[in-house]
Amino acid sequence: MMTCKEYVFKLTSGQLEEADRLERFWAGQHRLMCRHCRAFTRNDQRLDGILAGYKDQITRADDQAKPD
Amino acid sequence: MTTPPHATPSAPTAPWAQWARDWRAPMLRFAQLHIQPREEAEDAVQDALTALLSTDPAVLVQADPKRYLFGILKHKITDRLRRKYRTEMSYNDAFGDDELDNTLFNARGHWVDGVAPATWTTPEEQLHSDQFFAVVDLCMQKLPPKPARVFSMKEFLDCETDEICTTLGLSKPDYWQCMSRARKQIQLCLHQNWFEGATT
Repeated sequence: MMTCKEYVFKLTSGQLEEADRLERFWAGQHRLMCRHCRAFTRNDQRLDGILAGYKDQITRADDQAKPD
Repeated sequence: MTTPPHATPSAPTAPWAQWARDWRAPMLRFAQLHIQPREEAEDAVQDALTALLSTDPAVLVQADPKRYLFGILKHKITDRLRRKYRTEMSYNDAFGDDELDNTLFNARGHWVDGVAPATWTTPEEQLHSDQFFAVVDLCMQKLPPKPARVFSMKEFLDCETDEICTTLGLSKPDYWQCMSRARKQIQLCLHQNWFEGATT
C-alpha cells in the first residue's frame, strides 16, 4: 500500500502524470482512503492556477500595472 | 522614439525604445526568478533587448511585444543557466535528508498531526490581489536555489523535463526531487501565510 509520503512525491514530482494505469489505480485508491491527501491534491491543482496568475502579474508591462 | 542609426527613411519604424521602456522592469522581475544575482539577471535582459536591434523592423511592428520579448528572454536565461549549472551536484548531495519531508511525514510515511493539509476555500477573486501575489512572491523567494531553478524553468519558462535536465545537468530522479520539494514547500508556505484560518 502506498504511503502519504510516496503519494505526495509521485503527485508533486510529476511522476503520476507519466505513470501507467496500475500506478494511477493505486494512487486513486490511496486518495479514496486519505482525506489529507485528497485535500493536498485539490490544493496542488489550485496551485497551477495561482502560478499562472503570478506569472501573468510579474510579466505585466509597467503601464498595465498602474491604476487608471 | 529613437530611430536606430542604420534605419533608412523608408523602412518601417521599429518600436525598440517603447518596448524597452514598457517591458524592461517586468522582464527583470521575470529574469530574477531564474538568475541571481540581480546584476546577472540585468545582463540577460540587456542581451534580450540588444537582440531586438538586429531584428527586422517589419517583423517587430506586427509582433506581440510580450510574447516576442519573453520568447527571446527565455533563450537568454536558459543559455546562462546551461553555462552556469551544467555540472550541478545531485539533489541528495546538496540537501542530504530532506528536512521538509521530516516535517510533513512521520517515520511510517503518514502526515504529521498539525501540518496535514486542509482544502483551501478562499474565493477565487481574492487570489488575484496584490497582497496575495506578494505572499506567492515570498514563498517563491524562500525556495532553496536548486529546486527554485528547476521549478521556475518548468512553470515559468515552460521548458520540457528533458530540456531542464540537459540545461542544468540533472538526472531525472534529481529533477523529480526538486519539483516535489518546490511544490510541497510552496503549498505549505501559502497555507501558513495566507490560507490558514480559512480552511475546512
